Amino acid sequence: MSVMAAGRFLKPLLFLLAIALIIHGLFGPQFAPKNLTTLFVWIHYRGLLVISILVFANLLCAGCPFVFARDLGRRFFTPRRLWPMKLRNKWIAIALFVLALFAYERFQLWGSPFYTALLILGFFIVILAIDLTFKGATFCKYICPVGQFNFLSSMLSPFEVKAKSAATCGSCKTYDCLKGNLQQRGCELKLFIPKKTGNFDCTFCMDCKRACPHDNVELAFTLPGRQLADDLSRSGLGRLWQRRDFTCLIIAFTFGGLLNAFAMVTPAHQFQKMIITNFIDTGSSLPLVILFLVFLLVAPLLLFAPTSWIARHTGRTQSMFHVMQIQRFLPALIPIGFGIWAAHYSFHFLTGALTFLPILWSSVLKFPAAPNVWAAIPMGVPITIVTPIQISLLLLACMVSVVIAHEIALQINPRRSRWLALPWQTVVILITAFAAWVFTLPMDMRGTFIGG
Amino acid sequence: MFVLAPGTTSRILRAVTHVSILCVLPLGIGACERRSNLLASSTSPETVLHAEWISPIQQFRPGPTTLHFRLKQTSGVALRGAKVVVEGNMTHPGMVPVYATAVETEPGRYIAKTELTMAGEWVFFLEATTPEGKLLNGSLNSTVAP
Repeated sequence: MSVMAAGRFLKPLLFLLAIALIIHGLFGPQFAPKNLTTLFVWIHYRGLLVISILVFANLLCAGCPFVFARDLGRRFFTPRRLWPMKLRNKWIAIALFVLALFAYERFQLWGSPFYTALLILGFFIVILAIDLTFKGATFCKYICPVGQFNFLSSMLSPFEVKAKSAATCGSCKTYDCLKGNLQQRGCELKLFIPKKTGNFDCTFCMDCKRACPHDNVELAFTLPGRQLADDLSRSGLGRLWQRRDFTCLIIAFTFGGLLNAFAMVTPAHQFQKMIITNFIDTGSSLPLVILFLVFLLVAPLLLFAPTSWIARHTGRTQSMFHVMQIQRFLPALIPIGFGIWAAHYSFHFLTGALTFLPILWSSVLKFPAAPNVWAAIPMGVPITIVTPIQISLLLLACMVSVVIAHEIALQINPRRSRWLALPWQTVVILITAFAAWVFTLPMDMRGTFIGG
Repeated sequence: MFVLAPGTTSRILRAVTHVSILCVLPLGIGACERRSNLLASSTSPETVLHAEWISPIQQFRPGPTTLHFRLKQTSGVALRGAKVVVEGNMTHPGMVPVYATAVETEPGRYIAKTELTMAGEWVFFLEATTPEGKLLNGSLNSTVAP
């Protein structure tokens, strides 16, 4: 099945599923493990997201239910405004990404069907408000935190939307892939196919393919991660590594992943408990704020500042500013960042893949409970198998990051590339070691007890 | 004749839609609050099973565990001779539930052998069928230390 067909099929399907999940989240049982909304959103959606990105491409953006709702809305309302120039960057999306991570921990969103349903509803409201007012895919490109996660992750996907023949694009005078035509819209994220490099900002909607009058757009195989080391100016984006918002997005993505996994284990709970016991009242957000500051601000600063200083000397790149060097090398962290997310999400998905069956059976279809049947069915992969899978994902991601760091160093100083890359490769290994330590700790699952 | 400027209808409709969308949210919240209350009172008092731990729950650790608990009916009378099924769920979604059948050791006192798969918060749902065939439901909470 082609991606175009998959997108067309997935969008209405996921739209209906999203509506069903809103209803079940708002009106169904409010105990998270017995509710399909919390289960599908926090376990299955995220698991399938990382798997689809790893083996194929950004498929869940291609089938986004919110974009389906927006397209329905645009049949009645045509947006006329342009998104303000000053906001054409990723800062709002980064803020929302960090806010979403914080809200997830603070309000234990995984434990609340009601709030999870409101979150889905919120996405529908915001995309309709933004994209029925502003032209193009404003929400996807500048607002959506999930989209930014997918864009960064899909830089590691094995497939890419690109031109079949550069010569055909060279002779094109209409640029329908970008501008669209009377029958078909062009790329709403402003990616011009002949100059498009990599998957960043690509939702795999295939509008460009439909619009191209020469049938010159294809989904082609690409070496996963190769685009991370590129120093090319990309259509609609410029040189990615030179953009501060892109750098901050990588930090939020990588260290946010580490934080999200760390929050599941006992040391994180002990740390928060220690702060509460010694300094403040129960219920305060301060321990979590401190944890976020440590992971998203202090840790990157403590890692990157000395690394950049050492690399300047070992790689003899004294003429390169520290910040510039950090920005240039940070794309090398995307694979390990993704590896951490993939290891975390695959744990939940693999260990509980079929846990929706008893809920569908009893809570939705209202059949009588059948504990003996469910006890006999293995509902997920045993943890003894999942942990090695997690560690393998981490090691694979670490290797890719190490290679990318070397590729980047080769472009900066080919003579001293090994020595220039070494400090950054050490950072990658340190992050991997920390993540491996977290994943081998016993999980300490929290949620919200019924009645608080 | 009164004529609207071009695009006015579209603008009005767009504004109405935005306002409507914003109105849906509080309506939804209100509806859900009502629904939550309904849910809370949907179990009739006669079918509520009062359960309390006998096990020292602070000693629960991952691994094979025997749950000891006492069951009473709403009247406060110990529940005797019931067939009790236990379903243990972690409060985090996506964790595989554990099931056990409880055995009465003394009048109103039951034990159930199960395996707690992970540290964290657990809720044990109890479904008891009395000798008269009446179905009673209750639950017990515990935190399993790592």
